[in-house]
Amino acid sequence: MAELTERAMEMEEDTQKGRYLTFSVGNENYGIEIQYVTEIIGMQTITEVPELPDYIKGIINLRGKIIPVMDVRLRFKMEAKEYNDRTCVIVVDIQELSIGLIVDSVSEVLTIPEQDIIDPPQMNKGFHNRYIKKIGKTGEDVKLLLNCERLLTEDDYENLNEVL
Amino acid sequence: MKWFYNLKIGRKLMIGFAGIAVIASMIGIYGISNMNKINNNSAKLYENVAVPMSDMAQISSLFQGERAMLRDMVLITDSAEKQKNSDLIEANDAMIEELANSFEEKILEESNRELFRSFKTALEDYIPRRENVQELALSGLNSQATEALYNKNFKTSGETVQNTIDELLARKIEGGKMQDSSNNDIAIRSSFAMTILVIIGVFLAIVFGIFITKSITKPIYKLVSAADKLALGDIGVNIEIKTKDEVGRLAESLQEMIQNVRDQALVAESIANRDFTVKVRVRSESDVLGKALYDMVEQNNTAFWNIASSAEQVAVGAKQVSDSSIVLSQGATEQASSVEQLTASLEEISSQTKLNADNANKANELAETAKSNASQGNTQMKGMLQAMDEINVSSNNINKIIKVIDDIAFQTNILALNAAVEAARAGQYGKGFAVVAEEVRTLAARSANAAKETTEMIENSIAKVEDGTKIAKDTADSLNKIVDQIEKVANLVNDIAVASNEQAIGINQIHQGIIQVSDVVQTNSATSEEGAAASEELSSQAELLKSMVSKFKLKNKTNTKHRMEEVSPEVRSMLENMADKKRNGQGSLIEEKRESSVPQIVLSDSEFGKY
Repeated sequence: MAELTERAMEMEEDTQKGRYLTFSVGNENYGIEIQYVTEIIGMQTITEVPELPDYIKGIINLRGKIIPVMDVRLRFKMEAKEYNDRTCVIVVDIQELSIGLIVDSVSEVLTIPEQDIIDPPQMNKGFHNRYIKKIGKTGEDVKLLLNCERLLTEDDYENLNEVL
Repeated sequence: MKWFYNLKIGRKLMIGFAGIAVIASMIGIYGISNMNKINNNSAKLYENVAVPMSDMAQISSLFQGERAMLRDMVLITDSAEKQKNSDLIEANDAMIEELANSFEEKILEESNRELFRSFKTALEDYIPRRENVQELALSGLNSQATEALYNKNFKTSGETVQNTIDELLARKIEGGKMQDSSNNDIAIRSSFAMTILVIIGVFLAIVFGIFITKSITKPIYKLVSAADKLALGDIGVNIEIKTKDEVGRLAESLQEMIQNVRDQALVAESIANRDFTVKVRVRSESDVLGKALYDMVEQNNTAFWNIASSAEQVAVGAKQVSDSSIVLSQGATEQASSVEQLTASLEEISSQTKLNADNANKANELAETAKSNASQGNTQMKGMLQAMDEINVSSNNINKIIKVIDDIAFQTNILALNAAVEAARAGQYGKGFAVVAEEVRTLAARSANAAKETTEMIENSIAKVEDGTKIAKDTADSLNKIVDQIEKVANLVNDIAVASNEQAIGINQIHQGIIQVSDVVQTNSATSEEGAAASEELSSQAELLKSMVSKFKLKNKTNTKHRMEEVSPEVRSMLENMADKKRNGQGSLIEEKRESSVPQIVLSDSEFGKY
């Protein structure tokens, strides 16, 4: 099964390459590769779980599936914002762990060609830059392309695995 | 002879008397001396002549007695008698010796002395012979004795002795005669001299007497005449006696007295001339006149200063009163004109008041109308507000629905995205699905846009409605306020109407009052004119007094200012206050009037006619 999935995924990778799901957190627009994205859902009731980092808000029940959700704002050390009806949860699949990212709003699926993707500037080694894999130019805007694997630390993985 | 004049009278008299005494004594002395001389001479005569003469005579007699006795001795046979005679002779000898000694002492001339010596010699020659005889006699040898007695030598010697004795006697007598004649001369001379002296003395005495008397009486006469003149009040006398004797002292004192009297007379004269600046010198504690004059001058000074200052103050006060009177009368004039203006104004006010009352009534009615209109407006406004509220409600409803639509659009978007995700997952198989998803997304976007625009429009309209509501509310408030104000206005106007009526009544009363004031003003004018006239009079009197007092020359000016300030401040300030009030009220006109030196009352009779 895994192989199949892998093959499918490989095949899918070709069509999935260069396609990013853009969302906004705060004033910045981020992009995430579509291959990681499972689905997008609206805001749901979050069940808090103790002993987790603060940016891990808790867990949600998505059609029987328990998915931990992470507040991207808090992860990126930004101010926490009130959740409104525009807040979405992007369910991503990182290393076989599904996790929901709470974002302010979801924009669209964009195809960003290779030439428009460049490396981020090597200014400061803040946390932010760990997450930014690349930078994509879309017309006037610039989308920060996230590195999903970096979103969670090893400890977080372990914790979550334990919890779940 | 100054020193003489300067002697005291006593001394002078003393000198005079002394002089006379001297002269008298001189005469006396002269006389006495001459008398003494004569006395002496006569004494001398006696002593040197009479006595020796007597001595000599006695000697002679004794000698003769001796000779007799001798003879007796010779003759007598009684031896006892002889012895007695011998003793007697011896006694005689002794006496002769004694007498001769005493005679010898009185011998004056040399020739006489010689003669005496010869006598002595003769006697010495005789005595032994006699003694011889004596012895013979004694021894009874009378015949021898007689022989010896009638001895030639013995006789001669006896005679010699007797001759010498006689000679001596004669000489003495001569001497006595000479002495006597010289005495006579002396006496005559001296009496002559004394007569002369007496005459001189009398003359001198008279001269002295006259001189001294004159020296005493002349000044005294001068003094008497001066005193007489002084008694008649003539102080122009001058005593020219400068001697230092009692008269001189008296003259000095009299002079001093005259000087003092003169001083005091001068003082009195200056006082009579109204000059009180004289300095009165009080000579002593008992100087009654001096003290009296001093007191008089001082008190007069004080009194006149006081009078002067009082006159000054009266003058000032009179002036101020006069000025104030002018001010007062001017004030009265202006008062009168003001009163007239007031009356005119009152008339106007009265008519105005009537108008006011009418207007107030009209205003009242209008206010009522406005009020009712405003209420009506208010009600309509309320209706409008209600309608707007309903609009709001509808808009809100629409908003809600639009929200639903928006949600749907959102969800659709999500769905489309999910579809896109699934399509991406599906890979090449999902491309068509991706397109469909894309289209769905587009649709969702369009819905969302539409919803958004609609929302915007709704919000706009809501905002506008809100504005309208706000405006309506404001208008309603304004209308309410207007209503309130109108009510107030209505009340006020009512009050105005009432007040106007009362005003009319009041004005009437004021009118009455003003008529009274006018009367009073008239009276004031008259009174102030009288006051001004009186103060004029007072002022002129004060000036007169001042001028009268100014004729008196007074001293000690420093006292006056002090005095003036003591008394005047209250009066002054009061008058000045009066003047100030008037001045502040009246303006420049008064200033001019004040500056004029002669106070004049402006009002004339014609001006009274207005009232």
